[in-house]
Amino acid sequence: MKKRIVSTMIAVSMAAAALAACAAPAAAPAAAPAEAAPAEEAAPAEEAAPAEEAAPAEASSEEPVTLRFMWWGGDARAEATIEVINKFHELHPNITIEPEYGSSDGYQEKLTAQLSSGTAADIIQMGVGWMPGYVASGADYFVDFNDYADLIDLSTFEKSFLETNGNFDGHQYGLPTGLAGTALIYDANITDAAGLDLTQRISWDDLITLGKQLHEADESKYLLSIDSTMLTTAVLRPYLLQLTGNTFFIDDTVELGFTRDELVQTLEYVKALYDNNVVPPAASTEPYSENLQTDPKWISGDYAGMFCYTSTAEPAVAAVPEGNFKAAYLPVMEGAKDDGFYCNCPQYMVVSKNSAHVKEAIMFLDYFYNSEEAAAILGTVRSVPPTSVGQSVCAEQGLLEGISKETVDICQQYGGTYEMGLSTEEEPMAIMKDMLMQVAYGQATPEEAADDAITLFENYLSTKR
Amino acid sequence: MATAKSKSIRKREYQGYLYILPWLLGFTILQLYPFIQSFYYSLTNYSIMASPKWVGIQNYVTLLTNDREFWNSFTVTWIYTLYTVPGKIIMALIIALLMNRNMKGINTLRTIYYIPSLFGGSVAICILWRLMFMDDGIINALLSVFGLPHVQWLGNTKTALPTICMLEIWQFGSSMVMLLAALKNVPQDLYEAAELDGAGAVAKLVHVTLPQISPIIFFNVIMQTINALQAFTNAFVITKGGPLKSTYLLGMKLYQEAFSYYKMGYASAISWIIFGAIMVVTLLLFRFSSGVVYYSDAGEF
Repeated sequence: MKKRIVSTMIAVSMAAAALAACAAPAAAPAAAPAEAAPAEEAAPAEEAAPAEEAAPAEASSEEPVTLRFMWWGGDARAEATIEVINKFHELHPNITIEPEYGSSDGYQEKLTAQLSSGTAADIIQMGVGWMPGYVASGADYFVDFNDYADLIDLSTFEKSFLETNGNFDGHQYGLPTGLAGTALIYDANITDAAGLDLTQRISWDDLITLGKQLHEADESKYLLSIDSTMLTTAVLRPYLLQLTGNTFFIDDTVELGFTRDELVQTLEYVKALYDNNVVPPAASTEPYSENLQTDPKWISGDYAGMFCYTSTAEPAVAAVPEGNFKAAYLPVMEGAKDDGFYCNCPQYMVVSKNSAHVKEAIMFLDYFYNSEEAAAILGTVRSVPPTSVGQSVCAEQGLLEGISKETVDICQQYGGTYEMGLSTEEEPMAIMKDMLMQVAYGQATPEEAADDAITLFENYLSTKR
Repeated sequence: MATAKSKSIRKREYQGYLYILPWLLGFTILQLYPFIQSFYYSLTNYSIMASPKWVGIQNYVTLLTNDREFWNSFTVTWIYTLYTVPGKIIMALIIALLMNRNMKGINTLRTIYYIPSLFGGSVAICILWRLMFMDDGIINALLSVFGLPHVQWLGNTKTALPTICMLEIWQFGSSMVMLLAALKNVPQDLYEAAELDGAGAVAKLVHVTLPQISPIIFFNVIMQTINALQAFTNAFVITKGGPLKSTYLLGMKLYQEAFSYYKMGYASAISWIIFGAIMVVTLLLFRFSSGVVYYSDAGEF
């Protein structure tokens, strides 16, 4: 009998332990806000109170509010953003903002899971390429900033820029964080030594001529370092856009924006880049894909230039300290039907519709975009700012110099059709890269690669109709 | 009397369930439920952002008839399995035979050979591997010391897969430990008998050692095959499936479809095909083993 009592007790305690283990994750978030609150402020203890959620929208501005703000980026961006968060908290002691930041790796996966389960942060830094997919899913995830015009001043943005960045059928779901686009940078020390002139407007064919000239003068040198990603965004899609006047996929009709012959012609151009040694063999650059600035041959100055983004120009240049880098014009073919390149933004800021404190989140964004204090702290950590306030503060501080500014200035001269949507989703991007690599590695002719890819593009489009 | 006894037995049975309750909860919530749910998802179109839409066996049909990438991944996974399973076991066997002697410092040596397995398929080791096999990595540096030409380990479609296979083979430690234990268990009198019959070292290995340790070899073949068919980390971290999808294992395709393209239904279908493949291979291996593996109790497995 005694034995049985003991064994039952043990079993019950084991079960209790199991239940406790199950309950732990649910309990954790409730405890978290108190821990995560900034240490220097007196407010932290009171904000864990969940009671305020009963009266969310009309809550008086003095009630304690906790918001979550999620972004990706490097250390400089994180430090500046956290400082802005702290300054905002000094102005509004009742509003505490918890930063959630990390690298871009896996960010979208996490965000998608959070959005669909209703656990996303209140304020979210959003990828420009992903946004159309979220909006098209019809799930109504985001707040329309136009509905809150009394809380945030949107007049500091250029109107036309807002209309093309973050605006979906008249709804301003996203606010652009800066000015950005594709860039072409080169080390003038190398090109001058080889007698190449990249200061003028160039065509795609000029790139080949220049690249050939450089490689013939010195066998170890190549004009441009490029990987499958940049080959897709800086060559394939702009080239086709200029050739056809259409985006890669036409979003309205869910059809291909090009004919087979036009795609073959584009792939032949890509093949020519490799055949003429304008770009190094794919086998030597592909292992550094998406991190071309870490390629030892880039660092040692074997490659004169690189296609990149205005936001990645800075780290690419920093990797070659002795270089004398300049921004070149982006290539445009003769008789182009479209500029092919355009200036957009590196990310959006969005506010989750699920947020219990939309007003406070928008107040923060107003401070983030329109206060001189915030602009001075943020500088260009998210590229050249999009607002008049941000730009004038950065100009005063002398931040609008150097390669970022140069590349943005050039980018702004192109008015290509904005292509974010079906053409920029992950799945077709993977097919495009695969097709380009087949050609780059010489495993398929442009015709074969085009035929193969067109089947896959059609498969993809059929799931979108 | 009899009923009273059976009542108490029944009571004890309930207590038994109570004992296994923690495991039972974990199993049903974390394994059984996802298992069943994934089969349901495999028959739907499910993007996480919208609720699943029933499509019947459409995902399987598309996979098997229309998805060129799937067959590529299928082939790559098989090649990976055919490289790594025999490679790892032969490696483990050779080292175990070498370690199965009485000499000074043998325990230290055994520990050293086991170390790679402690790291497991961790991301850090995969990154280390990538750095070692980069164009300017330490492996190419070593090659040039010996005057050998550089190899583009990770950039070339022909060498990328063998390179990630090598990482898997390198982690032979746990197989080695098991084989070593089995070797220690081989009765000495069998060797003595073989020697009396005039058997040399090779004959003893083939006719005594291998049959005696065959159950452990068999066990390793099964476990390693299952692991290899599910492999993911190496390819994901070292090559991202490239170049040209030459290391695009099924595990990678599964991940990509699920978490990059959000085609959860399609990804679930892939996981069920992997499950089916593992099932078939394991059954075939058991079938094949019946004449080859020796059990001292003469029982069937």
